[in-house]
Amino acid sequence: MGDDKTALAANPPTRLPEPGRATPAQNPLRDPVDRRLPRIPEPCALVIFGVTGDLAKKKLIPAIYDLANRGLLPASFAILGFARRDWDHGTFEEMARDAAKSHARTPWREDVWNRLTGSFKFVPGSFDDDAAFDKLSSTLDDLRESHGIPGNAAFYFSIPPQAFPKVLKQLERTKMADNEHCGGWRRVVVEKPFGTDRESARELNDLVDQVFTAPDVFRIDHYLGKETVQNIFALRFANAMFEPIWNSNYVDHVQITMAEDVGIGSRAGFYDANGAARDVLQNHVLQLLALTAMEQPVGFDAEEIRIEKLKVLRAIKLGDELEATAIRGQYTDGWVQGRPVAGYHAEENIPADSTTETYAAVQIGIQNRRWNGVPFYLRTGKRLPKRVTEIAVVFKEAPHMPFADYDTQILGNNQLVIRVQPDEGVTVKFGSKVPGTGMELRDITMGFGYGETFTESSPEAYERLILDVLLGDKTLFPDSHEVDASWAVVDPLEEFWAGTKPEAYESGTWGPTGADLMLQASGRRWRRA
Amino acid sequence: MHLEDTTTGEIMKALAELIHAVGGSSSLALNLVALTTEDEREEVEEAASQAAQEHPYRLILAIPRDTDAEKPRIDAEVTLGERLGAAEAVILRLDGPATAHLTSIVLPMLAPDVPVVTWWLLDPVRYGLEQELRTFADRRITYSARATDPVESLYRRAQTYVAGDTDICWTRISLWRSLIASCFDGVTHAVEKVDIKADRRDPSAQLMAAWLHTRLGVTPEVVDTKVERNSEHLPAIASVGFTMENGETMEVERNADGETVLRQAGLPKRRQTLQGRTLGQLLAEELRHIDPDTAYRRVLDTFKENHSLTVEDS
Repeated sequence: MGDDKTALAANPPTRLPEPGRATPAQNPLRDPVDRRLPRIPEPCALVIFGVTGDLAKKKLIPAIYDLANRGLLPASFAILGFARRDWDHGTFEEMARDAAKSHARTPWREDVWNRLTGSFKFVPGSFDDDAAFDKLSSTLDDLRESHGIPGNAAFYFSIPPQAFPKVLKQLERTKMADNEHCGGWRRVVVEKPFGTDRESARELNDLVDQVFTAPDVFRIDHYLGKETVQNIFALRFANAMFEPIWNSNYVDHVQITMAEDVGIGSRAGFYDANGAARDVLQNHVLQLLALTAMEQPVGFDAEEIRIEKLKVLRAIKLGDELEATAIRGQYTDGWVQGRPVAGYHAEENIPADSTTETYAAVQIGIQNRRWNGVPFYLRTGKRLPKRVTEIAVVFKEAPHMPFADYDTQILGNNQLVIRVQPDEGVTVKFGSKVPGTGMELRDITMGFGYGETFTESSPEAYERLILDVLLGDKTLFPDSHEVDASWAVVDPLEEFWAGTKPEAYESGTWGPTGADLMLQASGRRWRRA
Repeated sequence: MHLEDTTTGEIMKALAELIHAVGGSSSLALNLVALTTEDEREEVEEAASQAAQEHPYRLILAIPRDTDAEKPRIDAEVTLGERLGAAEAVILRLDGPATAHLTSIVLPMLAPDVPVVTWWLLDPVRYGLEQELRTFADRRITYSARATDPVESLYRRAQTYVAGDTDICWTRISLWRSLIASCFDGVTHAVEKVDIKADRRDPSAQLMAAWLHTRLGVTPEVVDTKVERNSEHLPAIASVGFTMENGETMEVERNADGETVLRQAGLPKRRQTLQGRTLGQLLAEELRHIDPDTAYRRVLDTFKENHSLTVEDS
């Protein structure tokens, strides 16, 4: 056994030219045509900073249980929690058990959990406590002996961005982020916000890249972990019938909506400093846009997809007159789903004169041949009538209709709608004859619902993303250049909005009038999502 | 809805009415045609309703009833969203010559242009239906462990294999295989010897041996062992061990409760759980792949060659 250890230390696991990729090819039992064998990560540990937070309790730990339940975790796996609590391993394990039991998506099975017992380690401490990080480092090293984990670990930053520098410094000091030193891979997972503007995002990126190598940095945009979002690839590139019309010859405009019915909840401090554009538009909405508008990638490699996404993001152009094409709003009191709700200024910890937007609608163009002259309307907001995220591709009218005007009066444009959440699926809207002796036409919809055709077992976004981190697959993670390109879109908006007051809209309505006028100016209207 | 002494036309009309009553549209992923007996009906229904949560399908469940009857007769039960879950289901009870002409009954009832999967727990050879079912099915699922001579039944299927054949005995070793495969991640030495402790009469054990043989190029030694199982749909495998060319060993061993221990040279002992899945879960895994399973085909070929050798020996 001792011999093995020295062998491991002397010869760190063979690295492929591109670091951070899983190496299933060398395994004689893995056969690409054998699709029943799931991809399982190498033995590794997941270290969670901020493990007492909501994200860890509601998403990360339950996702780990779900992965275990689906048999997707390696036999050697450990979870390390780090937080400023006076806990021992047992307390952490108990908390994790409660969290997994109440939030897991798959049915609870005691024996699945039992196999994770003994794999939970807790290291108490604050972020500037050197001793605590030394302890964390030695705990990770001990896993080699106790759990057969040869140095592989992913660090999940479930902490406010202000704390990043401190933690990164500590990881650098203890060499915990050093692949060579650890004899395995070391990856880092960061959550949005990736900065608050282009400059701060660059600083953050530099900092993270300096400690970890760029390929080992995983930025989570949980929207990309959703099945429907991945289905955009399948829909566009695996079918013959959509791609030929996916361009300015046939598409009139595209609407991307991400609506929430809730208010800002307990995020007052963060939200008021950022607003809807930084919170949602910069990441989720622009990622959806990139997937909708990108060219076909050469292959389905992370790098190949990244190249195409980046091209689209860089081709985005804001309107020349932002007064008419960049609208923001702030909710006032009103009723949402039959309940009275307070206005933004009345929310706890929000200054009464706050000019932060809770709604943003922007018209952009994409400067390339495919999308020349096609406006993309993006909107996101809180306290809207319902929670819905969708991408609607609205087609041009038929060039000629051999029907009388009065027959086609209520006929709208054809639409293809990708519903991201809830009721994930795809809907196509087209005109059809109303039964009867006259030739009257009306719009009808034809739907495909994930819930109907492939029900139930679609994994939670975090489940998929955590697995991908452990496997080293970066396909679903935006990289630093994408983040940079997205800030390049949002920064001029923020600059334009600075010092102005957002337009008020009543809670429970579809946002400010300005947003409606933005579309009406060109004879269009928002689709009621 | 129950229909007695009926025709396929009437059955389809009843189904259309039911669909219309709940709002009309449905998006089906496939047709599942199952052949079973009255005794096994409940088990099949339970599995089917569970699998339907993942793959909405039209289920056509054919149950041969009074096979000796002179006159053909079809009784049918048509349900939607009831005890058979999300599936559109037609349960057929067939008398006399009707069974032998199952194809003529099933063909007009298939949902158009979505794949057809047949699944039988009983031996279709008994009803002379094997060829008939082959003609229209894209995939055919059998469960050789349920046959009177399981390994022989699998061997017969291996001899007559056509693309699209599969067996639940293969499905039920997926978790085992996945666990073993993950042990091999990072292993650099070639395997010299494979030892399997398993019930030789279990087709799953045979397939496990054939899989390892195919992938590693080493003929595993199967030591016939009595294996206690806490679930019917588990393979009768107690342990799989490997000896590498440098003398190191690796072993995966499962006890009767499902606790599974991994012993690997240079690493501490690790625990896993390997539990049996329900028939519905196995069926759902099977339905996930509609194209022919090439990996299974290769393994089945290896099994066939080795099995014919064993037969010649004895």
